[in-house]
Amino acid sequence: MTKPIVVTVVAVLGSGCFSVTQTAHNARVPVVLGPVTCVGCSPRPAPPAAVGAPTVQDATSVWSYLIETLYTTTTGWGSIPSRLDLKLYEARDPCHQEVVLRDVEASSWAMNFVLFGYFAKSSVEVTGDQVRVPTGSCDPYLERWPLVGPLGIHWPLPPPPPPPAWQQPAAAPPAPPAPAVPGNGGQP
Amino acid sequence: MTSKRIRVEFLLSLGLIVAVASSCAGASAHVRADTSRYPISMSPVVRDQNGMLLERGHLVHVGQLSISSAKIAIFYTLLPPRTFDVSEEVNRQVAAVGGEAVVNFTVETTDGCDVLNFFPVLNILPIWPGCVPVAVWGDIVKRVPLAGPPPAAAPVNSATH
Repeated sequence: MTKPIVVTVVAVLGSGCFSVTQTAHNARVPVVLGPVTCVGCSPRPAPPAAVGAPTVQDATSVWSYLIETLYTTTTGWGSIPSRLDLKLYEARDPCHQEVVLRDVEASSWAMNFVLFGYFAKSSVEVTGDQVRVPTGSCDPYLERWPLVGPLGIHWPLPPPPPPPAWQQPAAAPPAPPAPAVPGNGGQP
Repeated sequence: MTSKRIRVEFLLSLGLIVAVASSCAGASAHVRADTSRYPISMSPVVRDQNGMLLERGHLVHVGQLSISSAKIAIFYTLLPPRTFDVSEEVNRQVAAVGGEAVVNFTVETTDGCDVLNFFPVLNILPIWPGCVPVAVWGDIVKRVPLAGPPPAAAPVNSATH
């Protein structure tokens, strides 16, 4: 009778130990929240959801539970890490793609079954639309990352782009004609 | 036959007691940035006005965004629908350090509200409040001025030689 109460008290006192985060630190495409989608741009109204636009969804969560029976007490916890990076890593054209988030929801709740245990869960879920940016571009002169990532090393690498005109070596001036040697017809 | 019936009634009664005595509390919050004046990206990249992807080499870290709040709900997490609008704080903190965007935007929640959500007996009541702690942070960045083409070499005045 007292064991569930003790365990519940311990669970309450230990609250705050579990946390769950949602981010896209390793994605190369912008994952934008809010009305401003680029640096220096003015806010724009939310675009209507494009019909058939690919949707990106990801949920990361952590949970714990306790099950009390007549003879045993079972406790445990688990988590689902964020996989938003991995889902966006598959975007093959990061220069022309971005994700506009529609919803980011954080939730935390607990359910008690008096004398029988509890279940508690915290989660962060994101939902967004993959949109194409027709005017998008990449700077080809930065390092070509990600060279490594959750899918492994890219090989073979595509050929590097040609350097810009101002970085190309100046064309060598035309060689002056060899001075003619009199007496042998110009032959050495 | 009678013992089986008694067993079924016992299990049904037990289930009813558990159902009545079970309780739930918590909350959820929708993170919004409806009036933000700066782009906020969960990834390390963001675009400029021309659509060019600004990556690590284009951006310099000038500060850290950090906002936290706890949202409360009743009626077993259902009411009221909560939003956590970070726009005002984003505008203030980014402007304070002269930034232009927020990248690596991260949303975190913890089980720090379990004191409320787990509260015995009282959280059976629908008016018992539950809550969710939400923290967001990110890197405030601004663009690095791109190096242009090298200045043209001064013309050599052959008359001086």
